[in-house]
Amino acid sequence: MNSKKNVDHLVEEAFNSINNIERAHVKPFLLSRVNSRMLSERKNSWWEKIAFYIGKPSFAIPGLAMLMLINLTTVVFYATEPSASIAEQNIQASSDEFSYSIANIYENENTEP
Amino acid sequence: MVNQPNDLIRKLKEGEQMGFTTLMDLYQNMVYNTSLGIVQNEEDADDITQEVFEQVYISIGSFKGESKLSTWLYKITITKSLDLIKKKKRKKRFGIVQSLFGDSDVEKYSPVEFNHPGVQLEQKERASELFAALKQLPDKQKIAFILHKVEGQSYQEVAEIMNKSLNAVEALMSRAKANLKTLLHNYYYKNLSDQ
Repeated sequence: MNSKKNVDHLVEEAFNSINNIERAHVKPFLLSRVNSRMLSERKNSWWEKIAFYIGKPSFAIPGLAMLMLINLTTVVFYATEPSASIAEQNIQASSDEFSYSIANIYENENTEP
Repeated sequence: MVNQPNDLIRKLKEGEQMGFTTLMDLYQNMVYNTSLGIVQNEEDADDITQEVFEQVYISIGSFKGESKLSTWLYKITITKSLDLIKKKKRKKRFGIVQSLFGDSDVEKYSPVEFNHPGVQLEQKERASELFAALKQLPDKQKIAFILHKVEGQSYQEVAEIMNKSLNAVEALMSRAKANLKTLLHNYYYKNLSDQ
């Protein structure tokens, strides 16, 4: 009985505790903070957001690793090709381009009567 | 100096900085206190206050003046505050799931005791218990109670802010009080039996 009275009293006190509640005050310089917030959000354009994500280590490190892997694969792939054939091809290409040929006296046609 | 709300609205629509400054001077504490009552965290309430004024700056063009400017601000504040609570609840649920996998971040989201800075010192303990109980009410009851008891708005004004009839607000308030009484009774009985 006594405890019920106590509880009722506490409940009543809790309800009355906000009767004379005063207004809390916002932290100073709210206008400046709102302005800088809007400015920073305007700055963060679509491209800047993309740059931000690309710059993140979780994206940048696997990205770089992937690029290095592609390069390495390319190097390894071309290194295993027979080098002689490439050299031959180069010689053939340059000889075609500059028409290297050994002049031979028998190849000259006698154009004079 | 801008004094008339219509003049203020016109200046805001024209994007005048002076209008925005006046708006913040007039309503910053109203927005902050409403948000503080709902989210019960000073940092979050400050963030929401900033968000509300940012929202006002962006969407003042869509304000038709059918309701009071303060009513519109209350509506934005309430929506943003309830959104934040939902977001925090989602984070808390995610934290619980994470804790099942060994990453115990639940501590971060555990509720802390809230002391409203506007409550008198000798009433702090009881007020803190009342706010803890308030947190457990359904959203509509909580909003009606805060607007009426903490913000000091009349039932008519609460009805306008909440887009409800006067009778609906009265019913919400009566349910809120009854639920709060039950919650507080249970809390005090438990505390007395523990002692």
